[in-house]
Amino acid sequence: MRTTINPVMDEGLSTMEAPITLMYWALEDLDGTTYVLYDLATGEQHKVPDPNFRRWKSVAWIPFTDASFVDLINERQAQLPNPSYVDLSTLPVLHVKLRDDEEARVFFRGKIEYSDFYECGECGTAFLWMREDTEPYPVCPKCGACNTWFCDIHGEVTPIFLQNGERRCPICEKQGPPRGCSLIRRLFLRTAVRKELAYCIQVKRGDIITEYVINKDGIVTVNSL
Amino acid sequence: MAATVNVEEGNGSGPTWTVITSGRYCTTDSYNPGSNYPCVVPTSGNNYSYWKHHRIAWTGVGTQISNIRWYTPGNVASTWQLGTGGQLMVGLRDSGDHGCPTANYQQATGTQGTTGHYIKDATNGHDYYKSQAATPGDADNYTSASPLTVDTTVYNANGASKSVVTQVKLVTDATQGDKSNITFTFLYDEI
Repeated sequence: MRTTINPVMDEGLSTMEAPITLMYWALEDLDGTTYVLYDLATGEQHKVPDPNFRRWKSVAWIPFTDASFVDLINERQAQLPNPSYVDLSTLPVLHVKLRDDEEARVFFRGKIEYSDFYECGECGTAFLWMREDTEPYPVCPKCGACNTWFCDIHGEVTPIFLQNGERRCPICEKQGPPRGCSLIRRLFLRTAVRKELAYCIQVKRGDIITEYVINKDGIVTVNSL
Repeated sequence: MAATVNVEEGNGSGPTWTVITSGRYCTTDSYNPGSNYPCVVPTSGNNYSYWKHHRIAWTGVGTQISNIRWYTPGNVASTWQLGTGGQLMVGLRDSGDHGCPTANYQQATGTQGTTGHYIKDATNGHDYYKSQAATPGDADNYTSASPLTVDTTVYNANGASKSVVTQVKLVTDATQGDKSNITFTFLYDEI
C-alpha cells in the first residue's frame, strides 16, 4: 500500500521550528487577579506564575480568535531568537472552575513523531509504503520507479536473495559460477517529523488527578491519573 | 509559547548529535547510512543492528520541560518481519528513568556489515544497561497507552533529554529486503 505524503507534516513547518500555538492559557487567582500567557495590549509573552499545582479560582485554555492579537504576538515573536508563532483557531474554550479543595496546573503537551518514508530519486515524490503480498517491494506511486538489481553480464534481473544478505544473479547461478548483483537504488529512505501541541489542565483533589486535554483537532479527552 | 524541539541521534565516540533526517537501523555507527550496511538475517542464532541513541533537544523553553516519554505503534516486529522472537529492543533500567543520560552515552560497536553487539552483552554491551537485572524490552510493548518513561527530570533551560537506546534483533526466519515505514513518537510536557 502506498500513500503520497508531505514529508514535513507539521502544517508546512521545517523540522527546526516550533509548532504553531493555537491556544493560550488564562489563570484566575483567588483574589480575582488574572494572568494570561500573552499581554493582551502588547503581545508580550509571560511566564506562568507557578508551574506546579496550586489553588486557582479558575483556569482556562482560550483559542486565538482575534486576528489583530495574533499579528501583535507574531510581530514580537519575529524579533526573538527562538520565535514561537501563533495562529487563529476555531477550537473551543477549555475552562475549569475549581472547588475550594482543588488545585490545578496548565501546560502544553508536545508530541513529536518521526517516521521514515520513501523518496523517489526520479520524480521526487515522497510516499509511505506498507508491504503487502501484492506489493512486496516499494514502487513510486507517481512514476513507477523502483529499486532494481543489475548483473554485470545479464543486466537487470530479479535476484536470488540469500539469508546472509547476498543477492545472486539467477541466470549466472544456472549457467556457471555464482555472481552477485548490484542494487540500482531509485527510492531513498528519508525521515519526516510531525510536531503538534495539545493543551492540558490537570486538577488535583486529594490524591486524585483529573487531566483534561484538548488537541489541535478540538478533541477533548478526560483521564483520571 | 512553545519551545523548538527536535529529535537527535548520537553517533561516534564524541558523540556528535545530529537532528534526525535519514534514520535507519543498520550495521554501522551512522545517522545516515543510505543503503549501505543493511541488517543481515542470520543463518543461525541472532544478529543485531548497531544500537541507536535517540533523544529530544530543545531551545526557547518558557519555564520548564518535563515528563519525557517515547512509544511505538506496537507492531514493529511484524511490520518489519523480524522473524520469530525478532524485535526492536529498547534498553531498560531496573528502576527509575529508562533513558540513558548523555554522560553515559556509549558508541555502538559490532562487526561492521554483519551484526552489532547486543545491548546486554556481558563484554561488549552498553555499560548503562548490561549490568541491570532487566533485559532489553520489546519496543512493541510501549505504545501510546503505555509509553516508555525516558526522563522525569524537570528542565528549566535549553538542553536535551536522556536517550532512548534501541536496536533491532533479527532471527533466522526474518525477511530480508525493503521495510515498511514506521512512526516513533516522543511526548513531553511544557510550560
